[in-house]
Amino acid sequence: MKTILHLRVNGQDHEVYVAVHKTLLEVLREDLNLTGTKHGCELGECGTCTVLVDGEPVLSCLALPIELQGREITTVEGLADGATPHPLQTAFAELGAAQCGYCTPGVLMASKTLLDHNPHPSRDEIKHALAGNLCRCTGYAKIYEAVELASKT
Amino acid sequence: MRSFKYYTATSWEDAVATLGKYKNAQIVAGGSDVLGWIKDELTGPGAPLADVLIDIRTIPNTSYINYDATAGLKLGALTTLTTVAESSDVQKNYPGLATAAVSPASPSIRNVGTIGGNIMQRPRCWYLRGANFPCYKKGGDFCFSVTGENQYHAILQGELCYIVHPSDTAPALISLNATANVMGPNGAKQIPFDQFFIGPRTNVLKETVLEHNEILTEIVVPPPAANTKSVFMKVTQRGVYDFALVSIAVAAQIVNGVWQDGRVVLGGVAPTPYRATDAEAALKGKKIDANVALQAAQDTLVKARPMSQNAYKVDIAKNIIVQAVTSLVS
Amino acid sequence: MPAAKSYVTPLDYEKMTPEEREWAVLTGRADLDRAMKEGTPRSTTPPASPPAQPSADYAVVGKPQKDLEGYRIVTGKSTFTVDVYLPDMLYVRVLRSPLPHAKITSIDTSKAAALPGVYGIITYKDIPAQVLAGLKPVMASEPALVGDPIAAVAAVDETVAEDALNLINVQYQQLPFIVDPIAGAKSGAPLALSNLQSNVSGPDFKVVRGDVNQGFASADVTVEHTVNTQDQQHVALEPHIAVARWDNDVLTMWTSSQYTHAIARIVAATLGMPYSKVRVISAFTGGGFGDKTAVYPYHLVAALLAKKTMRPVRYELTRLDVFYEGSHHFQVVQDIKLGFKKDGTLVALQADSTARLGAYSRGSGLAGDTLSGARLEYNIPNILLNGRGVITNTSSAGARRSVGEASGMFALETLMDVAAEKLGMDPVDLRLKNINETGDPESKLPWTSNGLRDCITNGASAFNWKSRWQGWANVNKGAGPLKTGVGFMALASNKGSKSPPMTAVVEINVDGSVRVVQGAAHIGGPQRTTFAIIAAETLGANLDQLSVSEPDTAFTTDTGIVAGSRATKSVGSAVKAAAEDARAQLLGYAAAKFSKDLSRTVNPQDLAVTNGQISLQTDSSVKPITFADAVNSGFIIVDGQQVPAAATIIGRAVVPPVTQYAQQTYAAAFYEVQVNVQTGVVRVTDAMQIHDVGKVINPLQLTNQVHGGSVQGTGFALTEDYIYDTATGIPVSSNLDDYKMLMINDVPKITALFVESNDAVGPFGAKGIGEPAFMAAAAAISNAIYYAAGIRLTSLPMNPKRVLEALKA
Repeated sequence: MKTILHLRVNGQDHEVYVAVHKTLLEVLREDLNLTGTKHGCELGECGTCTVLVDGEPVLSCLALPIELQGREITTVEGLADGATPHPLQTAFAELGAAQCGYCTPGVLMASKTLLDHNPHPSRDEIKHALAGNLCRCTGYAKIYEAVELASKT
Repeated sequence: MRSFKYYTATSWEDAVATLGKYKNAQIVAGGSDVLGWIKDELTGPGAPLADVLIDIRTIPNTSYINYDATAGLKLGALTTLTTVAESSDVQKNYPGLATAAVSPASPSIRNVGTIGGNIMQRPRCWYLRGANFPCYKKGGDFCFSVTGENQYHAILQGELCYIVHPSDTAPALISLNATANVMGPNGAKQIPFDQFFIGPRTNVLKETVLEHNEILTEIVVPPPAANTKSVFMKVTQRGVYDFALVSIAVAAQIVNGVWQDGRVVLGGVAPTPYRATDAEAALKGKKIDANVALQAAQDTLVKARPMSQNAYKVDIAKNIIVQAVTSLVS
Repeated sequence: MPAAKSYVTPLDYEKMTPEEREWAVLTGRADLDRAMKEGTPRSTTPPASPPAQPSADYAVVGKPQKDLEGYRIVTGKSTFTVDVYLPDMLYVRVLRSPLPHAKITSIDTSKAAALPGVYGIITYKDIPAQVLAGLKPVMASEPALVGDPIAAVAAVDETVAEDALNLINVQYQQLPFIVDPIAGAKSGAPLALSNLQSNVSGPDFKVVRGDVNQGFASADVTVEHTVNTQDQQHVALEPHIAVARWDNDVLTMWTSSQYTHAIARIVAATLGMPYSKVRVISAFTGGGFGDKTAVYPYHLVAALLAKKTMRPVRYELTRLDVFYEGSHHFQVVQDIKLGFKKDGTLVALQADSTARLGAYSRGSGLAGDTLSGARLEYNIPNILLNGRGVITNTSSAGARRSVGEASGMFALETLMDVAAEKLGMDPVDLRLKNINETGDPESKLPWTSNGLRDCITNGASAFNWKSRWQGWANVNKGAGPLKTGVGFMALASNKGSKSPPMTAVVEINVDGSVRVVQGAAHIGGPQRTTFAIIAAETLGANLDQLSVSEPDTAFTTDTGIVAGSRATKSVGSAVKAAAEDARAQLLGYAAAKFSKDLSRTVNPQDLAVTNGQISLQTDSSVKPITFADAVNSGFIIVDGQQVPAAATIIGRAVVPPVTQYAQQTYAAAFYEVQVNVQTGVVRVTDAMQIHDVGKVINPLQLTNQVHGGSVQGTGFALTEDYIYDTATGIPVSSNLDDYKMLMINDVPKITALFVESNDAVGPFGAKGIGEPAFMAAAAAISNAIYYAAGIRLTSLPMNPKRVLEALKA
């Protein structure tokens, strides 16, 4: 069963003709060529595929895009302001908070919501916001520091 | 993911009617559990894979929190866990429920996961969730945990099947004497959550009294009686959001340190949220202290029948009852 | 001390499979065997210390440097293999065995093949017998583990491929199976594969030094215990994936890999093709931890289905597929016994190690690796070590951030703590008393460097050990349900060595810019940045003059594997040597140009290079020249035009293996834990690791590696557990809910400190870090749990079940 979907991603309107059972993650990557959002576990357990829907973090591997028509979807590709990186991107790159970098897009999106709601979060607030994002490389210390650095800029 | 057909419901009645039309239809709201189930292809002789999804998010007015001091709290079944947890009405009047709504998962799951879905989610038993185990719950004829890896399984009321109920909000709602509003082919009806969940002996293929074409639509929590205190606690292996080794919800009216009336409900220990009526009886009329709480815990756990690897959960349950009960007077 | 009788049973490299040989290289065993075989002069006197490398003030080395690829990563533009989508591409799904051991009696794919959108199916019937992934069947006819591949479908999308899998009809004849290695080693146990004579694979690993019986007879204090460490999966976040495309007779494969050249070489050999016609690309690798070093069935599935359909094919494994087909940090059961003199002097060690190999690993090398640290960390005159591998119907054993050493160090360093208590000694002092600072007693080679003593003493001081650890009388002295305690371990590891292949090319272009051509994976180290630092320092160039190539076997030589904590030391050595070659050529041009410009002879050794400027050391009045000036200094005239004579300088290096030294890395770890004796939950509340890294190349990223290693090591200690249902042979914790990894909530303050021992052979004196950071946790945590709550936990993970059971015992 296929259908035409109208999706708004990173401020741009898209019309795609896809199977209804395709997840948002699959549509973003395969139909819209937005490969910044990654597949980690496909079961909502690692946070790697986190994107924003109306500014709130959502796991795109468990979201059906058919349900998200008319909503504002933001991926890591929509984080920078043109050629100017988002302060979170700058902080993660400068501090080495991204190592292999595979979890980074998801971590950045969850962090963005945090800073949008709470420009100067405590470590505890960072912890709660990023509790769903598995990182296998960094040990998270630099991630804390990067979010804090971004909150100061 | 296997393919399926997808319908959007326009009303509860429409959803119920569509469910009635398709034997293997499944309603979907947040999708966190339903889509995982389909992706894992969890199917068996008595548990066909859903080939039709009926989206109920398209039904108007299903996400709301209404509170007033006489009618109590009404939660639309599709209210997200985030909304429930952040509601000042819930935090103020039902702190145990507020904590229970935060604890299931990370923000990105809570933002889409609904209170109805948290109540209706399927158990996490790794045999049930393993595609290669044709267990009772999938219509097979064996429970693999009995002879297998049962460190996370039931210590109370296990029979046939030894799943533990995974919901955090369900124990909290039972402790608060909440009621489910349900829509079915014959219209709406009310079911107290105390009678909402069923064990394997009643029907091993499902965890609630709801029939295939009945849907949980609203949760009603009575206004807290005077001097009511409530708490929710949860023991997990990791600091991160995780399913409970043991959880507990307690709500009680306490006057001058004396337990007037109240409920103690455990999660993660039995195939349903476990109402510890023995503990409640032991506490009734007593001035609460550590010894009284310990007696209540012992009265409850004397009924525990741990399996080969999960006796430690008896200790946790005992300790957490003491901790939760005494926290109400500290 | 009299000369001790000493031998190590040599490995027979002729009879080993390619996979086993890879293991020997990975574990450092090959270095040891080569050193012994080549008749390194054996001496009964302690080997001489290596000469120290010249220590210098460096311009780039040792300064914090962000990852040069950082901005690509944070903008989502770094191209992982999962981001490769090709025109006209097909998607693959694989049907996997539901049984741990069976024979396929019939398989019918006709209905699946008829499904619209299906373009190719392969089963074992389509695979020639000699086509194996290592020892793993590409498609099994006798599946030997749950998850062994049975049939693969290429279709227009994953859903069609999955629907097709459900139309394949397979009949199995169930066969007896074995999950437990101890049971599997017994005679009469069911055989894991029908062609085996015994589940015990090959001759035992054995080390004899001195006389262990006499050693124990002379001991005043003897301690022993049995340790059981669990099966684990790496869970690198980028799932394993291969995208394959054929262009005539050339196979191009994109794959998430730690070692593109090995993939190319082995795929080529397996398919009977020239190595030169297999091109493997892995621009960015989303984590590996040892799991992406080998050729797996999925590589060959992609290659064969692409050939069969003549369309590009993509096989991205699901997380469950990764748990099944990926390699596993193997279960090991160890009996270990130590003998001491009253004053704490170690006199004897006996250890026996049984490793679960899974279905397709072989030999006793993995078990042997668990015993490596015990053999080398301390001076012990009398040793008897035995190790064996047992083939089982489980996922295959492999390297995970230390191969076997993490398990071995857990066994040794927890027993050292037991001994310290029995001896009434501070555990720190007991280690300091016994450190082997001279060299490998078996090969008689001296260490390249050994900073263990400094690691321990610096750490004890920084952690404030003397006041936080209050003697053995204060074990389990905390009141209330939350008990706090501190624990310590020392660590010696054979990882982080410099070993071949080590080749690289450094080009200086006509405009003075520099290209470092190497093929090592970029996997979070961040390796390309490390190599840029090493090349820039060697050349005297600025970092922004440099680019570093991505791994692509079509354009790079085999620069070595990013595993075994050896990227910095091995690949770094090659890059440094190639840069030295380029620098010598550059100075030759520069000297010629200075000579010409100044009309007097200027020799290369008169020149200095700093910040990309070449200057005449002997005359500061002469204006420095740039790299471009030097490269462009020679011209010829063609058709009346000046044309550069040497458009590019090409520096090359093929670095020989290290034969005159034995190589080790060292660390000390201090952990504080909080044990909740009511719930059994253990949380690490403070962590400190001190590593002998030889020389710090990039402090920023080095600290990151320690943080990440500590968190993974804590997960190894407390939560991660890949559990098999022994009755059915089916793994149960094969998703990320049940396979519990630590996340941001679980992370305490982690302090990373470094000791610079100036390694004799590493680039600028550096050695590796990745695996030591993982290993320097579990034993310290167990020792801290003992100090807090009075329970000795010798099985991992130390989860609430084990804690509460021990408290009750």
